[in-house]
Amino acid sequence: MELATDIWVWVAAILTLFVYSFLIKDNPLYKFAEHAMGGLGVGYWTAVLFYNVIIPDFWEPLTIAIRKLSMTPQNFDAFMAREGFSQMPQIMQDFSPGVSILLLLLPAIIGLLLFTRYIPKIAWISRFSLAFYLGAASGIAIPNTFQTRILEQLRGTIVQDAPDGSVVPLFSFDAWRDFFAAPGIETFFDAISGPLLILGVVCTLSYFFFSKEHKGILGGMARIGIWFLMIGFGASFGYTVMGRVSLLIGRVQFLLTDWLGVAG
Amino acid sequence: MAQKNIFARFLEMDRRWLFLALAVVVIVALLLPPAIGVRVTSPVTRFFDVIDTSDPDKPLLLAVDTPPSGLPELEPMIVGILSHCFDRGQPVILISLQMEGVSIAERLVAQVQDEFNRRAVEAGVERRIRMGEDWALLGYRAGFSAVILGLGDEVRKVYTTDLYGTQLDEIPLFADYHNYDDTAAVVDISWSSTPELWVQFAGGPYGVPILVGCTAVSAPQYYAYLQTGQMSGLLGGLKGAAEYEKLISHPGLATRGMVAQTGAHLLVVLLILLGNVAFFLDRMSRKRRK
Repeated sequence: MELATDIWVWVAAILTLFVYSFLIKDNPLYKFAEHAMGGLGVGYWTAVLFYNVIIPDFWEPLTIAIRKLSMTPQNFDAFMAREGFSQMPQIMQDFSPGVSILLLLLPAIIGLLLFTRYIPKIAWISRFSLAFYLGAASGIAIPNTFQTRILEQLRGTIVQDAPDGSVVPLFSFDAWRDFFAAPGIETFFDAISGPLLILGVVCTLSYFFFSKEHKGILGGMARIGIWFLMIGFGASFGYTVMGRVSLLIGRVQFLLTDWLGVAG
Repeated sequence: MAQKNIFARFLEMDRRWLFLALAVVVIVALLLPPAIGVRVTSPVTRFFDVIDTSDPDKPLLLAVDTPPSGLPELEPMIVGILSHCFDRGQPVILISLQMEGVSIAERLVAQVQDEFNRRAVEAGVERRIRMGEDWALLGYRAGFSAVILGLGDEVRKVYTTDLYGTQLDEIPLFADYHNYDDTAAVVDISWSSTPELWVQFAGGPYGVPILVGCTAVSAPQYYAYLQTGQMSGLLGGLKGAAEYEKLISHPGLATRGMVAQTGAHLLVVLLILLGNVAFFLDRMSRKRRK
């Protein structure tokens, strides 16, 4: 057993125990750890965003662009050398200083307008920012999302790429022929997985088809769809249990290895 | 008042006993040697094969998109991938779309580098892992999809310097590196939905292979992308990490955690079975009494 000598390992270990004390019952130690984590998280995010986004993406290019406009070329070169800028910001490589200033100030103003939500009388202005953001984000996301989450998934329910690079139907007669030629678990799953996937998708979609009463063939398919859904939920739940247990294992590994030095 | 039978008392047991039992199982299992064999599954083999058969001169783009809360499952994956690449002499470019990922990537790459160089000294091998040649840490950039799309055009338009302020043109690793065409594969180690963004904005438009390491909770939703080939490989949770450690013959945290994982799962299964048995026996006993 070799106890840690690093004070931060002790802080982390004690805070870990504070958090787990909630399992006995809610208590001030747990609340302290919870609030400390919330506060530290916000502080960390603010600092990182300020130094990784606001300074390099806004403040530095803006400063350089303004200096470029207001200084003589000699003074500007001296300024760049004094401040340690070895090259122009990306935006100024693509645009003139005036346009760069405009392109930097516009998103900054749109971002600042979001804060008008805190002033009830002019809170409506923030909707312009939100509208711009949602419009831009949708414009970027919709074509790619449609391609990857709908078209490609639809294709994956009809055909599959064979190891030799060719495209074969998901319901493959060749796979069944292989199974009957050499019956075995592997060939059986190769043959059954395609039809099973098609059946699962069609029946699950049938369950979500509400324009017709779930009776007759549609009712039967919807019932099979429920089975597929339940198996899917079961797999997700199993993975979730594994994930949560892994988190516990990670913390216990830390306590036993890094803090107490009794394992590893 | 009628006395409760043993089954009813079992069903109403204070849940804190279960927490205690789980804690005991995990602690005892972690003190035992890692004796559980791991069977390697197809998604992990595919993940391994993509890296192992790629051109070792082309860098791997490794996105560390996780906060500390994802580390118990994801840290063994990052360590494993870095070890695999360094062993085969393949450079790694580390980035992060999640700001906490930067300090995690920095710590882990230094740890793997030190371990590799220590072993090299012990073995009398001259080769050393060096920043700028074998790896580069570019850090965090805000704007998920914009960053991924930008990297497909020119890395220098997204990152002008590495995390330590060195211009990319001054770093040997970037001499011939510009975009996804020069990338062996993109690996996203993520605790959130960023793998879907990589598929949408890098794998789809640019055709670069996308490999994903994710927490177990997220894994089921990515099997659809694996089946269609939109993702080339998948490491799901601690089990996926342990399988990968087996493939690279580098047992680490995940392999050690497998005994505890198995013990905890057996306990959960046992409790589910006992709970069901107690439920039905309690119901039968009550019916008989009526």
